Amino acid sequence: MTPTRAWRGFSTLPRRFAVAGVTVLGVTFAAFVALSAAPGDPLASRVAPEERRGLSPQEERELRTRLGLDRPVVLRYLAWSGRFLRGDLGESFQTRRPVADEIRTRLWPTVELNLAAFLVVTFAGLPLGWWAGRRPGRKIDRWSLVTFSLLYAAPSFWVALVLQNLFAVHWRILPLYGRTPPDGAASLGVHLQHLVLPALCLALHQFAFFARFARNTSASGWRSGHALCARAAGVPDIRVFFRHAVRPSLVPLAALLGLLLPAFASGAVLMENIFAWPGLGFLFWSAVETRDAPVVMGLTALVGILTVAGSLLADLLGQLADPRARRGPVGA
Amino acid sequence: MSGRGETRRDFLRASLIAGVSAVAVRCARAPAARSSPSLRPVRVVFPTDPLPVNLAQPRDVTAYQFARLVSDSLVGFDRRLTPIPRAARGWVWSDDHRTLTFSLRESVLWHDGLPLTSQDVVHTWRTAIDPRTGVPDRGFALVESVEAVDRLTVHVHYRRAFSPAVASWTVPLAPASDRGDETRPLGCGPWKFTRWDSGERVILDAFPGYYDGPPGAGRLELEVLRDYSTRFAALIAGRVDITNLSPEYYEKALADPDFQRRFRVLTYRIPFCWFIAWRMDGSNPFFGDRRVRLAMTLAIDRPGFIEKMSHGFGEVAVTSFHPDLWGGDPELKPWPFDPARARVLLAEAGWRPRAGDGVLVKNGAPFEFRLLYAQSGAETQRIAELVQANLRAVGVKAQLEPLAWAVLLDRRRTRDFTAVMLGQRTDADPDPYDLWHSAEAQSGFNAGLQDPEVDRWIEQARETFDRAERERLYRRVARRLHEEQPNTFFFYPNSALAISRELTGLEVSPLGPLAFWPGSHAWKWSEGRVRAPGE
Repeated sequence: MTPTRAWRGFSTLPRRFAVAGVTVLGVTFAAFVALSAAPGDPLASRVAPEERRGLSPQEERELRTRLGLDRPVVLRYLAWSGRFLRGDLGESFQTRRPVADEIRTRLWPTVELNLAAFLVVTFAGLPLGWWAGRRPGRKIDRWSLVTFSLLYAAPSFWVALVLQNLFAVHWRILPLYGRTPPDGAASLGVHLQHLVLPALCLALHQFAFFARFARNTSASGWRSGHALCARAAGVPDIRVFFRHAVRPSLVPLAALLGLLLPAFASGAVLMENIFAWPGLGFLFWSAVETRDAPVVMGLTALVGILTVAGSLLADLLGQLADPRARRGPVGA
Repeated sequence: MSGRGETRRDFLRASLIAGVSAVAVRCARAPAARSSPSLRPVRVVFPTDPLPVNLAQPRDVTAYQFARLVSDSLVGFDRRLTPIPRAARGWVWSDDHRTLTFSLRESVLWHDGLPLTSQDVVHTWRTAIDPRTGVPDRGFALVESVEAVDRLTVHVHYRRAFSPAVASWTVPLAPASDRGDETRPLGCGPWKFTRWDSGERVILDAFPGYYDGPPGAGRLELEVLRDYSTRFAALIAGRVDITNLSPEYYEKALADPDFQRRFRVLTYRIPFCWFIAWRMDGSNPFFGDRRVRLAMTLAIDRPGFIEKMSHGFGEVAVTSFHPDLWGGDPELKPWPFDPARARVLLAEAGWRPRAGDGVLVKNGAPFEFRLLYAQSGAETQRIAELVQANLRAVGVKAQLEPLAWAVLLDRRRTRDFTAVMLGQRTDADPDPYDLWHSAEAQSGFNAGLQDPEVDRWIEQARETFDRAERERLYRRVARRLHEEQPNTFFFYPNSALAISRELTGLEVSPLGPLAFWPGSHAWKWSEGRVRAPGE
């Protein structure tokens, strides 16, 4: 296979990036319209009702003009998207600081938490699933089915409370909440300790889902004709397992792993609140509660970009794992 | 092979257990070392991150409480929220009551060591009324100018006499020439900003140069925790020393002897009142009649609701004047739950039960209306359902209409309602102009009370600088509200606070444990072991 032929599948990348850009703008437009169409006066998010008593009608009009609330929604969106393309996300109604600064401050904690959850899913969930798939119908497989189903069904907030009480209150071997200790100690060990419980709880559902998925794909591969033939021909089991059970399951898994990004982003909203993790989920919750439109829009744009990026990544991973996809359409 | 396999598995198992145990022991927090009481931090739960903060214009209650820790104000509150001098030695009104003179204490220092001057007060006022940073306190609306007469004297000129004005000077002071910023605030209060872990905590240290002496505890750690279950767990795990409890956790705490041994629980009434406003401006056939409004109050089982559904967490309200603040009439008692009398009053007002469904009718029109309330929160839903059930028992049909908060406020503002259930925060100064003056009946909070006598009493009180006289006038307003029942005043909710028994000197005001004098300044760790009740 020549290099040109091997990478033919990637020739569509520029077109995909263009589509991704349009998709992000579409998502932000839908979010903008939804926010604008939400019932109630958007000024209420900027000015508390008690404060509003101190505003004269003239002052209220001026404030609306200053915030751009007196213009049609399409014009407001065009103004917002123009600023967005220049990297300016506006100013938070609540803190009156640039939204980009608010997001920047909270971005790394969320990335850290999601990365840890991703590692749990990838390096614990998948091998466990593959392992269970090698012994279909046996005790280990039956137990894994029960365990994964229970983990998938358990409400993550309830699991979080149970784990908090066990590990942080009863045994006191892990921190209860937060990302750093009050004394400011910033060693890697301390940091990892803080990460354990929230990352486990965030990974819980995806862990169970991916483990189960990996189990099913590897079990069908292990029982396939190719695998049986190879084993009959004396190829070592472990080699057969990797070639005919694990490898075929990588293609759909790669596609699904790419979609983990948005799934974690939404799960982080709940977990960050329970574990007082100072990330974007925490910020999103507060912004929705206080109807802080610029922050909600900034975060929606970010999640939109992540979703599209995740989808692109999934495609690329799929092409790397599947030679047929790399070669492009038959006859090309 | 099998034997070797067993041995190897045993070895692996033992290694795993040993490893986990070692990690657990390494990770386990040793019991908090008993450091010197003056160095041990007091860890307080804050529901949201108070930073960034504009000291002279905090954005919400949490930011305001934080600002009061870091910076003093000319005027403070005592436990009953009566204004008392703080950074100002005192204040004097001119004879025409249009100029308020503040004399500053000489010994007040900013945390960078510079003294407080009248220029700082002028700067604070300018920041507080700057529309670019927010909406000014309405107490400043009548201020014409603020003048620095000399280094320690400030004149505040008002457009007209306005006795509630002093309370607006509880605004925390901000230093002139922009020292400090919103993420590293520089104040002149008992606590000095030390560190901000964004979204996690703010650390404040006792300011040794504070004019009333440094606080009794050496350090405050304000931990940002939104979730009530995490707060409770943090308290049990020893991660925090003071937190609010939700009603559910309050009950749990009371039932747990171990909790009682380690913590004391204080309850206090917050300056807040739940009420139902009846639109009484003649736009509907129901609530223009005083007998009908009173019947509504008598028909609703307010004591029963507090007892059964709100975990006993509140007290039946009498009027909009809060019982823990001055202004109300302590002799007034809440109307009882008396559905029989409600039926009599409704019959007197001409409402008769319809054959079949028992719904009251008058001139062929059924007694049926929509009750608006905020859809957020289980408490409002429970209150609305109780009101609906209680009114149905006397023949009145209330259709529930839950709305988003912003919509509810809009509907009230544009007078698009017949009955609306809301909660209202009470200001420290009892001036009820916004609530009950006729001028507010078209666009403000007043749902239709237009009583010339009430207007006159409120206006007189605004121009009266003798507190006893103001109180007398407000009692008249309170009695009239009690008779007229423009609102059914539902209840004043309580708040519960759990505090480590080792912490002494903690008291609460209606604003909680922080925003009054001496507040956190008096907190101190006890030297010896503190015994729980019954020990």
